[in-house]
Amino acid sequence: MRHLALAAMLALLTGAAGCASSSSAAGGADASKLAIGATAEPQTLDLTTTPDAAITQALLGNVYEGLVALDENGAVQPRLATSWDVSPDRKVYTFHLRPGVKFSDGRALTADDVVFSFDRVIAPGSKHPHKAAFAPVQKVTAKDPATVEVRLKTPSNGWLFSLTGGVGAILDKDAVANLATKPVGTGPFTFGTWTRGSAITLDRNDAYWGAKAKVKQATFRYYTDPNALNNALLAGDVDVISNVQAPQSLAQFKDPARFQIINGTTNGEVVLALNNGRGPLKDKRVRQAVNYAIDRAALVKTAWAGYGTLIGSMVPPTDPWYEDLANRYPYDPAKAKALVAEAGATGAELQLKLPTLPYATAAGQFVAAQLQQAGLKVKTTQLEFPGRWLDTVYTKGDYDLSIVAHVEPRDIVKYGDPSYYWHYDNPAVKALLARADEGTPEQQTAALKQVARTLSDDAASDWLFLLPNLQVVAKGVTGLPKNAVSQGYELARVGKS
Amino acid sequence: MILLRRTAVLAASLAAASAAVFAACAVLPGDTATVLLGDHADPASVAALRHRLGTDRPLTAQYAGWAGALLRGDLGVSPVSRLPVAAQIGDRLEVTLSLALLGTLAAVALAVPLGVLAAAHHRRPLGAAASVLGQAGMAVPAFAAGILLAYVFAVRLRVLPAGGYVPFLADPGEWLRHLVLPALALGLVQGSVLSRYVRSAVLEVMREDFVRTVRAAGSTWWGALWRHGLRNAAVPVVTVLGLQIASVLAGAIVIESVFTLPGLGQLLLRAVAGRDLILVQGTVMVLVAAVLVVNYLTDLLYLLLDPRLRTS
Repeated sequence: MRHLALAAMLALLTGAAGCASSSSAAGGADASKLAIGATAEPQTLDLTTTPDAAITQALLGNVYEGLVALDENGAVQPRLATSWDVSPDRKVYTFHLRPGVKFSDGRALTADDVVFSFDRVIAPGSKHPHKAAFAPVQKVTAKDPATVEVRLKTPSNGWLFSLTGGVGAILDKDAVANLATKPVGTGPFTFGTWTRGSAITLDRNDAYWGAKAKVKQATFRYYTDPNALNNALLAGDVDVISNVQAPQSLAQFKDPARFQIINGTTNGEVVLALNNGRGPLKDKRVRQAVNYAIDRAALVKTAWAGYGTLIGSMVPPTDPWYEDLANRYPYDPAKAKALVAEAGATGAELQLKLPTLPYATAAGQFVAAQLQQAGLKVKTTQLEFPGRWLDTVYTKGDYDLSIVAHVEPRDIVKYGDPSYYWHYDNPAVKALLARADEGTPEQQTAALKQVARTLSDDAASDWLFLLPNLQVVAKGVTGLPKNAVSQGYELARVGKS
Repeated sequence: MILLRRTAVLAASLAAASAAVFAACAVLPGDTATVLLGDHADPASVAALRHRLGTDRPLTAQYAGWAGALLRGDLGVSPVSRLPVAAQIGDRLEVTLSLALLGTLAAVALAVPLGVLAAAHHRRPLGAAASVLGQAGMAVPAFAAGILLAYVFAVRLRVLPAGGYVPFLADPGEWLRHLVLPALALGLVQGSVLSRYVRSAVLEVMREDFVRTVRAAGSTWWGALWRHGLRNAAVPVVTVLGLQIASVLAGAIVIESVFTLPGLGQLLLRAVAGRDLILVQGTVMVLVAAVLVVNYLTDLLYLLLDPRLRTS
């Protein structure tokens, strides 16, 4: 009896293993189904309650669309609005909605939906995580079913730009009761299913107003362990690794007959945050010393396998006001030591509080070692991310040095807020940022160039490197954007053969 | 009388556990509102959300509210996902239980032949080899075994999936295919431990008088083992197996991460990271209650089996 049961089980196991090649899981052989391996699963799909990047990654540009969207060069382009007029004082925006757009539940998009979506953000008592982006908005009105007028208190380029992110997603006013579990939008995909803990499936929207998606179904599969994600691609369970978390492991994908490695840029500046508000780092000379003390080219090799771009300020190359400032502080340990001594900070102890994130842990050791050589003492502690890090470093400002990637687009504006955890306080920068927000695109670009240079001169932070947009793609998968400019991981143009 | 006392102990333990779980969550730096709204939120929104969630109330009031609902069997609703905690746990339970069950089966499938072989060839090279194999298996951490198995069978040979889960009712074949490697990884360690008990139980039984009688009547060692020995050796082995359940569950939680199985362990980790404290408290309470209640039932079972204990 016992033998029989054992034999039956063995037969079952081997039998199951035997039929592997015939019945592959999602992804793999079926060219109409695309599977994307991702790292962080959202906990909710309601993008109006939390800024969780995992929600916009899966839904923005796929399920949800805004009036405007970013192209690959970071420029604002029409999406649900075919065009918009700006009044001469830059305070009134009139959006002309695209005709023939339908939500996935079949209802036609009207100006009322836009008003509804924007009013949700600015309503008194709204707890929208990006409420601040809508601070300039005074009133949103539907002029007619196809025209929306937005009046601003002050002109704001930042506001128009914010419409390309999650806060600009146009919601179906009849479907917001189920935002957390069943998103409804106008995009090239409709929301399919969410298997909690493993995957979100999107189905092609065959009634989409624009070019239809190339694949019938796209699935985001979530892996908490980077090694498990690598295995999934090697085993053919997924077609794409959307964001490589361990660049050291890329060697296993070097075979060009099977894989392609895409190395682009992101908006993620890995910032060595310097607390400008306390201790030795109040002194500009010490901050500059930190910038001279760290060999960033070597750091990228050590911490991130050499992938990543040196930037020298808070601007990624995909922003219109990008200038190469990477050589403002060339690696010069002697000069660093001299500056520290000049400021009388030799032997001062600095608290380096690192979030438990792969790049931060890797870069932290390197940074600590090089700062010791410049005559500073560094005490390193690790803080669980996000909970403890947000509490200690971000909310309480109890730190001298920290390392975190700032992944929001155009987050250079944060240097205008002295209460932000860097505690950088420069009225000139504040004024320039205000001028940039209110001005024409040309004025904006000129002003922000100056902000970036000033930040660099002041050594407000040490911008270690720009996170690369590292993707690994199985052979036959085409159309993935090289650079991660938008907050959404748009899949409509991705094909598979 | 003693039944009453045991029941009181269970109730007190559950109450103490709930207080401990709540306190542990309360001292975690970073609360639900801060983590949920993220680093672009204005302080007024965070305060408003805290008020709506009730996390701005005194801790005693929060505990009373939570524990009171718990007494009515209500685990609450997660403020992050806006889903009932009980339903979320229910979703994940199948995964962890499936893995634990198949892992235990794999452990038995490994332990019985290995243990019997070691006993049959007691003090001979083959028996020693079987023992060494068991020792080696014990020394390998379950996650390392998992990584190795995934590399060989999923990455190199590509005969089994590298991870993921398919519910049993959706497709039993795929369910099994996805659980073969995780169950083997889990069963390897558990089975190695178990094989030592199998070996000693078999050795013990085969020295018993009734086995000697059978063999005197002409039966071979294997024949005696097959017809009379195994059933008797099974008793201590099953006891050990029962005791191992806790470590099987702990191992399952580690293995979940290696093979991306959406079980209770993954749910708990994500909930802690997102400071979904209601979900954390509910999940931990369910796990703690399960262990306490099983202990309680075991106690009752002993009382039932052994009348002497009832009077003490």
